[in-house]
Amino acid sequence: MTTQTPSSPNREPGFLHQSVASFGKGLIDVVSTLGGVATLGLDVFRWAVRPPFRLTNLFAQLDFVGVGSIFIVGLTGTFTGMVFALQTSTAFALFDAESLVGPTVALTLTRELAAVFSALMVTMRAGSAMCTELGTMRVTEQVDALETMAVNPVQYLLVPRVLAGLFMVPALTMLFNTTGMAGSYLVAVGALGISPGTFLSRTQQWLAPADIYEGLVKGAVFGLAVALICCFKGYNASGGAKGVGQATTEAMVASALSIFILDFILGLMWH
Amino acid sequence: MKKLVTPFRVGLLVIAAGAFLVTFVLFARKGGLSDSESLVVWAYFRDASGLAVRGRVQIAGIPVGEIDAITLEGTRAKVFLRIRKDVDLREDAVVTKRSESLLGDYLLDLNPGTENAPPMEDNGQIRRVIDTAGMEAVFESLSQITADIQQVTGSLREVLGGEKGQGSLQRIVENLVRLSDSVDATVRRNADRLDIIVGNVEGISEDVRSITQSNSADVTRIVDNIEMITRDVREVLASVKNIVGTGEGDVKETVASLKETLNKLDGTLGNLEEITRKVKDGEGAAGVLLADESVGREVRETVQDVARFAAKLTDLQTEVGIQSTYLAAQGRSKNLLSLRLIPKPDKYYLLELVDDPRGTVSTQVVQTNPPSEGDPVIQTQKVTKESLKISAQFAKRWYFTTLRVGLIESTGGVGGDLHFFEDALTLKLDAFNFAADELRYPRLRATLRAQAFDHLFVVAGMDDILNAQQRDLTTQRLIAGRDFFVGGGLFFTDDDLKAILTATGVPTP
Repeated sequence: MTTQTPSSPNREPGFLHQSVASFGKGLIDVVSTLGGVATLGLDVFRWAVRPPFRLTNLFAQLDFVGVGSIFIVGLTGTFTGMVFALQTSTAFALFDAESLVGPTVALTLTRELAAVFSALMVTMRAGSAMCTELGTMRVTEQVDALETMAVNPVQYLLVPRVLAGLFMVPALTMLFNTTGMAGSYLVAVGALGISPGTFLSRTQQWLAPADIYEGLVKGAVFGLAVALICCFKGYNASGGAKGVGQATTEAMVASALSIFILDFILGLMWH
Repeated sequence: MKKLVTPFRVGLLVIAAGAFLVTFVLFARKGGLSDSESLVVWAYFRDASGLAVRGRVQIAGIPVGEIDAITLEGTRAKVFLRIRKDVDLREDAVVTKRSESLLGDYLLDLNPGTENAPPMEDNGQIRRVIDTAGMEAVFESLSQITADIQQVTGSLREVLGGEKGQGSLQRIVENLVRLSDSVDATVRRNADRLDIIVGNVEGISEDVRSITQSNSADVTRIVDNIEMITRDVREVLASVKNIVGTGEGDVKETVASLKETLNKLDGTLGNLEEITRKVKDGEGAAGVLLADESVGREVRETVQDVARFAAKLTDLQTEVGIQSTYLAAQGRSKNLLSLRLIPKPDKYYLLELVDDPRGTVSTQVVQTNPPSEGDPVIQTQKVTKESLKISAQFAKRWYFTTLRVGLIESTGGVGGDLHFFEDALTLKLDAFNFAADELRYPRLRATLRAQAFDHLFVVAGMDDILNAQQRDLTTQRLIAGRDFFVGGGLFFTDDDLKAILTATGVPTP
């Protein structure tokens, strides 16, 4: 008597199955990361208001995140303002409305571009360094060593970095605004021949303090988000050097995406 | 130290960012008006499209406020305006919505009202609102114009677009071409005749004008006489009518006499016709004069030559001058009478009569022994004597330089003038007397002439710069060598002479 062997239960899953599984895993990862970042944020603020206050660590991070980014942010701001003035003047010249170049550049910079670009520059320059540093400390068990020495790693490592992101990105946003307006003034008045009086008066007419506050609030939110994401990814890195690299890459992508998504949400809320 | 550096750097960044923030906020706040320095008024608009909060409100192009808020009230837009308090706003103020650019932006032009109206209260209403037609109305108007143009072009297409219309156009163009060719050929063929005819007509009209102008009284008298004659003729004709109408025999005689007269008149007209035919054919002196082109052309050229000659004569300017200088080494004065003929502004002919105390030197060969005493002893004597010298020079000017050549003080020479300050100051250099035996070098004279007033001038300079002084042994008169001189003179031009002669009159013998 012969018996028929049933088909193997370990066959390869289909394409649809794989897609759904991948989407579900990604969604779970995103939600998990969001939850982890939120939890970490609460931890950071809880430990931020508890002594001991390590000002040296805080100033070191403020210096690294803020002062260290002055050059790159100033340069980016200048060229952004120049290019924006050049392009908008070409478009406005079609309608004989070059006087609107100044207000357009000013509103765009103060409301959107300054905060977004400053946060992106901080992400690339300081966020990646934060993530790598924390990840390396994690995989080399330096974080565990801190806990062993009864030093809370969140308070010691993360609080200064998150506060630095929170305070320094708005400051860099103002720097971006200033250099950007200077660059646009140079191009519009110096190169394109728009009257200085027209440029300044029309900018003054349309620019409101609320526009500047909007950019500053956005900068603070972006700075907080970037610092939290980078700290979260680095703090939870695993798998040696490769894991640190992976965590840094994920931190960069997540930070950039969060900046644009938050910008959209804040824009909707503000207006 | 490093502990302090990091906070310091961070502090600097924070201070800079704070300063930027304060600057931006202050800059942006200047665009708005505070409650204390402004009042809010409002107005209803049927259409508030293009208006925006913080949009400009201006008087005569100068911003005096801004749009504070825009709300919907029923079917109308209620626009709140924040106006500076220093604007004297009255209740009869008028606000006009005006397009600012092609982009659809609008601003509000404010007329603050008249002084007779009461002042506008805070939160008052501007009742007179003008919604100026915006770009939509302009585009609508343009659309109507375009439709009209299309209608016109359609009508033209119907008239000219078909084969019949094209044929008509082609014929019209061909006719125009033929007509223009014909006119051109006619004008070219008869250009000379036309010129002559026009010239003749001009001459005749000028003659007539001169006759009528110079004999206007005679002409008036002639016209009066003609009028009198016509009145007499009318009376005579009336008498003849009376006479003719009196009897048949008289009428026959009269008719016969009239026939005879008509025959004589016919003969006379025949002769006249023959004469005109000959003239037309160019026969006889009158015919040649009128019909021959070459004669007409020659007459015209002759007239032109005469006109050119007359123009030269009338353009010629004359300047007469006298000059007197005191010669320092000589101790005497030198006098000069000059006549300058100026046919053109850049050239002139200079004629001078010079009374020079140096005189003229002549060489005489004298035999000092009697002819009977062997070989003759010949002695050469140089005799200096006073005599008038003559200068005749031709001068040509280029910009501030004039070159002269000709006879200077009865010897050949050249000269040059440099003019400064619109000819008020002139530096003159003369070189002449190149062949005199008693001079080692030619006689070179430098003169500085200054003309401070019309017709008056002063001169100073040095004569015979290159040669050492030589004196006549008997009279001690300086006959050669450098000598300083100073003096002055005056000159008159054509116009001056005309004025003088008009005032004094020409002496008659």
